[in-house]
Amino acid sequence: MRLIIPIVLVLVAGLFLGGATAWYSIQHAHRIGAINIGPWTAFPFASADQVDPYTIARGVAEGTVPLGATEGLSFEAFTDSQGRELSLACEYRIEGATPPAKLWTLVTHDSAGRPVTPAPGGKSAIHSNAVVHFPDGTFMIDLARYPRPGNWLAISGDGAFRMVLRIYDTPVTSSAGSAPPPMPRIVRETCAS
Amino acid sequence: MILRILYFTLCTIVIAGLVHIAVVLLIPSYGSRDAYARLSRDFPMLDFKAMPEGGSQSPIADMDPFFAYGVCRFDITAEGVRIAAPRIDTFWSATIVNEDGTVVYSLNNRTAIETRLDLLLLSPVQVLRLREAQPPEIENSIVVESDMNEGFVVLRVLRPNESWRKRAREHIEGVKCTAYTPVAAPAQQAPEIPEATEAPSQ
Repeated sequence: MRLIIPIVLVLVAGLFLGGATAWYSIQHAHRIGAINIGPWTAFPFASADQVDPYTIARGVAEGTVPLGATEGLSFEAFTDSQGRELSLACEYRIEGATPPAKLWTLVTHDSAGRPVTPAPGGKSAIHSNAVVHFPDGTFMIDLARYPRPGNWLAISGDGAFRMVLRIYDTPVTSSAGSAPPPMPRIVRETCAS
Repeated sequence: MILRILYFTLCTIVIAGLVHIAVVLLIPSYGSRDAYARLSRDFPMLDFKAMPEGGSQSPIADMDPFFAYGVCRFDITAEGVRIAAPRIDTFWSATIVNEDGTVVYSLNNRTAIETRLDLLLLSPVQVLRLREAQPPEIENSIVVESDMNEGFVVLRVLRPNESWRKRAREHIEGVKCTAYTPVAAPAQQAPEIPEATEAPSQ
């Protein structure tokens, strides 16, 4: 009888700890097998043969279908370039260049995973063919509540949000690891208090 | 007493480690929220259908709003599958995914033959039969060999603005996803076969 209590305790604690660490690692699988470029995170190997079990489990738990290597690569950002959480109360400027690609799309999602409700007169998602580029191929996109000249991504609401930058038909997926591809910076501007 | 506590702590850590590994490895087989499990509810086998759009209704969690999606579920254990689409002059890409959610093959309009989606997905045995039969399809289809069983194909068609919405949808409705068994081309190819088989035997 004196032995049963410790055994039960050990079993319960083991199950709990094992489950909790498994859950945590799956949620934070971006530490394993991901590439991080500034605030952007992508899983270049989510589709290859050498996928690690954490990335597979994460895809299953979230119900996502990864982009194949020939299709492209999906980058996610939860913070600005200085590491501060993205907030809909703030205005941001995205500037720089993406890896060479036929096409890219930039989408914003709120904390519940829905697309951000666009501010009146604008859209909360944009694609490369609709973005005005500088002659050197770089671009600048303003995320703001009110219309801006140039490229404007209209955000509204409040709370945290994330950005998803999907790059289609890019050589990056076949040469990942050789040199970090260029990714745009996310610069925070004014915040509404 | 200290030894006893140490002993039980060690046991806890070992059990925790085993549970951790088991959970991570078993999620792909037993997960019920993954894309394939959700697709299985709404999509019959060998029926290419457009994906419902928006919100939590969609079986695939991470859809790009600039793309129209079409999906077909299949099982190539007994018979291969052929996925063929008409030509469209916008960017598209397609992925073959197995039950576990791992990408088996992917292509886009630039890597396809004549920018048209025409795929034969076959098991290794079926590929041997295909080589034997030499049907006319192999001229312009991409042949993918895989030892998977069940899976699905996702076609993503770019619709850069609202005016493309209808066209992308019509394109997806025109995609065929059918069971495929290689059949030798009739008539003019028939006389060639004896010639080929005679050559090695002297």
